[in-house]
Parts: sequence; structure tokens; C-alpha cells
Amino acid sequence: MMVIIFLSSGLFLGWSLGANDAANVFGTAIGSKMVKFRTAAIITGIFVILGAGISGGGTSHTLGTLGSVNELAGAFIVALSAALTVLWMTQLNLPVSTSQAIVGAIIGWNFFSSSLTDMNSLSKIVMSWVTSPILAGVFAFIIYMIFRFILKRVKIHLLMLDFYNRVGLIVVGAFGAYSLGANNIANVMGVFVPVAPFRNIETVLGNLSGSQQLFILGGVAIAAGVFTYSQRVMKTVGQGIVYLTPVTALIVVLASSLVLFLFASQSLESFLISRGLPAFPLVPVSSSQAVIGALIGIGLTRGARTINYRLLGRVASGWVTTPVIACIISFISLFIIQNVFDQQVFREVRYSISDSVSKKLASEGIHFSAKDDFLNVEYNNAVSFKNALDKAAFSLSDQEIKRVIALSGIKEIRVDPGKIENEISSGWLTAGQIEALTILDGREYSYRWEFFEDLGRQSIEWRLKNYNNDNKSYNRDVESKIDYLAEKFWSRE
Amino acid sequence: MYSIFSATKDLVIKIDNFIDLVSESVLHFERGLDLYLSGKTEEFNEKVHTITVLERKADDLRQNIQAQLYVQTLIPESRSDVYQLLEDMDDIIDFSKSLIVGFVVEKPCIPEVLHDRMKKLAETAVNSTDALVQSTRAYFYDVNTVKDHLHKVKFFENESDHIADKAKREIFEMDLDLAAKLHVKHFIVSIDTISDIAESIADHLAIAAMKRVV
Repeated sequence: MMVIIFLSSGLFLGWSLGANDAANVFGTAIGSKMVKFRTAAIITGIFVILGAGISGGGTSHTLGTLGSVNELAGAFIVALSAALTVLWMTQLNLPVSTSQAIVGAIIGWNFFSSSLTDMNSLSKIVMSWVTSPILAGVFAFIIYMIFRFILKRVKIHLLMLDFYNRVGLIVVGAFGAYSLGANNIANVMGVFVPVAPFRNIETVLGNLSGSQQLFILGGVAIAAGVFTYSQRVMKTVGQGIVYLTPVTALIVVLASSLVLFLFASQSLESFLISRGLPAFPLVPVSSSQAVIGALIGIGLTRGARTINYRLLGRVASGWVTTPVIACIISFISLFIIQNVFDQQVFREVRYSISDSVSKKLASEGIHFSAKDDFLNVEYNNAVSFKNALDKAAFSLSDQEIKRVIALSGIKEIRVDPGKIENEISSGWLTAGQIEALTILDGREYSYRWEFFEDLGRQSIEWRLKNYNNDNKSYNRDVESKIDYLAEKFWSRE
Repeated sequence: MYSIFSATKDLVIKIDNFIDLVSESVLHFERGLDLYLSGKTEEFNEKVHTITVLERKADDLRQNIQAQLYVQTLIPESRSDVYQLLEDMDDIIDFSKSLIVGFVVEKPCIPEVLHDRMKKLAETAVNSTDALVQSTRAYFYDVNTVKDHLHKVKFFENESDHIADKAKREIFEMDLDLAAKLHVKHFIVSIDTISDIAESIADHLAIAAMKRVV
């Protein structure tokens, strides 16, 4: 019951995403009266759930590296803060995106729990916000030129063009809804992935992992938002921004859906990497901003004068204001729920350089003169540990400090394969991985990396491969399994 | 999906047929005038019957197309333009029919010296309608080429005005009753009106085409 209450904020965020962002997928089609609302809502609902369930994992991994919310009540507040920010900014008629709101809210949690914000992930995410509308604009421009070239040469009757356009809008709309589900589900449910106590279940369609169940639940919330509240928003999106012909409506949806898909698809990422091409980071981006980018791209085909710089300014201001507001709301709400409602919103992770950590650092060639002063001294959180390191270990580079912090986080782990019986029986782990876990049954570790190394010693299937593009998805899979196990085996005493 | 596809195909054929009827109606009118001036009453009456049947057929077809467009909510962006275009094109058929019926009812006495000019006037009406029909087909099939045909409508309308002016001048220089002069003038103006209607439709079509250019 408590789980449902805590998940409610994520479901609320999902509902508001369905009501607002999902409108971008079919908004132009509804606005130009090419597709009926009922048809649009049914297609969006189905494909958002499919996208979330099948391809939702990629972007949530990125959000997870930004800040790993480790208590259910904390995840509740993070999602609620993002939802409130979206609601408040929508009421103020300011441009808002759930992607930006959730990032701000997670950073708020990081501040409150004195966890470190991974600047690499953050910069990757922020860069994606800037590139996604630009990319959508470029796509729209190119697709528009191709369409114009073809339509000038192929003589299609107005009515047949209308027919093909309707079919195209439905197909592309379904693709857009799928991409939206895959890309934005992490906003809605990503923070709950490490903390929600869902077990794997066997269905007629195959095995569903805990995170897939969460994503499907989030997808259902998005679909509910689409059915109950998106009609009005769709009409505004379709008619309010710029006049669109049915063909340009199709191009806008196609361009923005492609962008969402590029930033969400793990299979596409593997495909690009296997062919030596640069891959896109898997990051939740804003569908509204992708649509605005696509509209500007269409406008550019008629000359640069058509660009609405005021609109661009509003979009860019959203990149800053939304995360900042969400961060503040998140921080204040966490404070209130912890101190007024007496709920644990984060699990403290202490830091200490023990003898084993010291040896590990030495084996990795990380030395600093003040290391002995740190030996077996415990720090209450990542921030105080980092501050101490910054003062004393000035010979270390930023990367080395990051590594010291990563190795020194204390996580009392006790291996208990009984806790993951479902995962084992569902085939989520390989035979070699299961065998290694069985051997380690009952062993205890103080650090995540100790557990990880011991796993690697027992089976090659727990070892990471060399860090290069070919092995990226393999390593991500192994790392996410270890993260999952580390959370499961983390002693609650 | 297939049923929508075949219904759309069916509608395309209906619109093509309707445009054919517009073109035929003016051709029948031209031929009817020729027969009237040659005094071949029986054949002329057959032509009148043909145009009357054709006008009824065009009305039914137009109503059917408009209903289908509305019921299936097709071409929402261009529906009102297509509605208007079909109505306007139907006016050409209606006008041709009422004009030929006018010859039956009023039996105007047209001096022989004016026969060639009257035939030329009808031929120009056919040409302007023909250019309009081509523009209309282009609107449906290849909107970027609409303007390639539209300027011809204008050209033939000017030509028609020019011929009508000459005919009017000639009739008023003749030694006839004023009533007879005015009667013939009425028919000259009416035939010229076909080109005027075509030009007015062409103006609307130009705007509708602009809206559709991708």
C-alpha cells in the first residue's frame, strides 16, 4: 500500500506528461483535423506503453548516474517536485518540460542528501537539451526539402495525398508515441527504479523485470493523461503555434519523433556504434522543444526572417528556470517530509579510506601524500569527503578524486541469492553469473567494488570488457545488474 | 483501410467526371449555337435536351462529392476551397443550360452578318472554360502548375470581351428596331458572361492553389 502511495507522485507526473507532452505527437494532426482525437488518443496510449516497456531502460540509466535516489520517500518527493514544477509553470504559461523538471528535482535531492552530482552526466544532459531542438530543426528542414522535391515530381491527386497523409500521420504518430514513451518514461519512473520493490514476473509475453513493470505502470499513467486531459492541449499545439498544412504537420511529427528516438533507443545506439558511427547519449529530452525546433526548421525553408526569436528565448530560458525551480521545490519538500512527517528520504552513505581501499588505490596508481591522514576516518557524506579531499589531496586530478570517492563509499553488502530467486528463475542472469553468486552466498563486503571484484574472480561473465564503443552496451548491462544486486543485497540493519 | 482507399479512389473518379461535364457542357453549347444559327431546329432541340440532362447529372454528382467530402471529413484544409470550386464550376454548366434554353424560349433573330462573330464568341467561351478545366485538374493533381493554365483563362476572357464589343457595335449600327438590337445584345452579353464566370473562378482558384503549395 505504501508503495502505491509513494508511486502516486510518479503516476501524477506521468499523467501530466500525458496531458501536456504527449499532445505534441498528434497535436498538429488534430489541429489540422486530419486525425480524430479518439483515434489519436488510442494510438498514443498503446504506443507510449509499448515504448516505455520495451525501450525505456536507456534514458533511466543516464538519470540514475546523475543521482541515485536511494529511498522510496525520496523518490516520491523528487517526482512530486517535478510534477508540481510542471503544473505551476504551465499555469504561469511558461515553457516547461518534464525532462528539465526531473533533472532539477534530482539535483535538489543530491543537495539535500549531500550526494555529489555527476557533472559528466549533467553536462551530457544539458547539451542534449540544446542539441535536440536544433537537430529536430535540421531534420524538419531536410525532410521538408525531400518532400517538396518528391511532391513536385510525383503527381498525386489531392484526395490521394490526403489519404497517404492520414496514414502517414497515424504511422508516424505511433512512432512518435513509442519514442516519447521510450525517451520520457525515465522522467516519470526513473527515480523509482533503484528503490521500488517490484519482483520479476512471468507473463504470457515473457518475463517482465521490476523496472519494466514500473515503466509500463508509468506508461499507463501517461496514457491516462492523454485520454483525460490532452484534447485541449492538442488543439492548442495544432493551431496555436504556427499555421501548418497537413504535409508540414506530418514532417513536424516525424522530425521531432526521430529526435526522441535517437536519444532513447539502445538498439539504435548499438547499431551506430557497431558501424563505427557516433552514437547519441541516451538522455530524456523535451518533446515540446523538439516540436518547436522542427517548426523553426520548416520556417527556415521560407527564409530566416520567419524565425521567432522571442519563442527561442523562451525555450532557452526554460533550460535554466525549470531545473532551478524544481531543484528548490525538491529541496524544501525533502526538508519538510523528513522533519515534519519523519520519513527517511535518503539512505546515508558514509565514506572511508580503509586499508583495502588504500591498497586498491595504490594498485590503480592513485597516490597522494595525505592519504595516511584519511586512513579509516569516516565521513558522513560525499560532499564532506570531497571537501576534505579537495583541501588535502590537491595533487589528485578531478578524475582521480572522483575515483577515490567512488571506491570509498561504504555499502554493507551481504550476498543472499534467496533475495533474487525470481530474477534467477526468469533467466535475467546467465548460468555463469548465477554460479558465481551461489559460491559467494553469505559473504559480506563493505564496499560495492569489493563485491564486484569478487564476482569477477568467480566468473568471467561478471567482468567488464575494455571500455570502447563496441563493448559499451555489454558493460552497461553488467554494470546495471551489479547496481541492482548491490541495492538488493545492501543490508538494511 | 482498404475500404477508405477505394472510397477515396472512387471520389477521385467522381471529381474527374464532374470536371469532364463542365468541359462538355460548354462544347455542347457551342455546337447547339451552331445548329441554331444554321436553322437545324430538330438537332438543336436534341442538343438542348443533352445539355439539360448533363446539367442534372452534374448537380447530382456535385452534391454526392460534397456529401462524401463532408461525411468522410476528407481534405480538411482544402475542403471549403474544393466546395466553392465545385459550386462555381457548376455555375458554368447551369449558365450554359439556361442560355441555350433562352434560345429555345426567346428565339432571338440574329442577323446573318453576325453569325461568324457569335460563333467566335462561343469558341472563345469554350477556350476559356477549357483553360479553367486544365487549371482545375492541375489544382487536384499538380498544384505547382496551376498558374501555367490560369493566365490563359484571362487571355481568353479579354478576347471574349473584345469580340463581344465588336458584335455590340455592329448590331447597333444596323438598321433594326431598338428592341431587336437590345434582344441580340442580351445574347451577346450572355455568351461573353461564360468567359467572365471562368475568369472569376480562376481568381479564386489562384488563391486556393497558393494555400496548397507545399
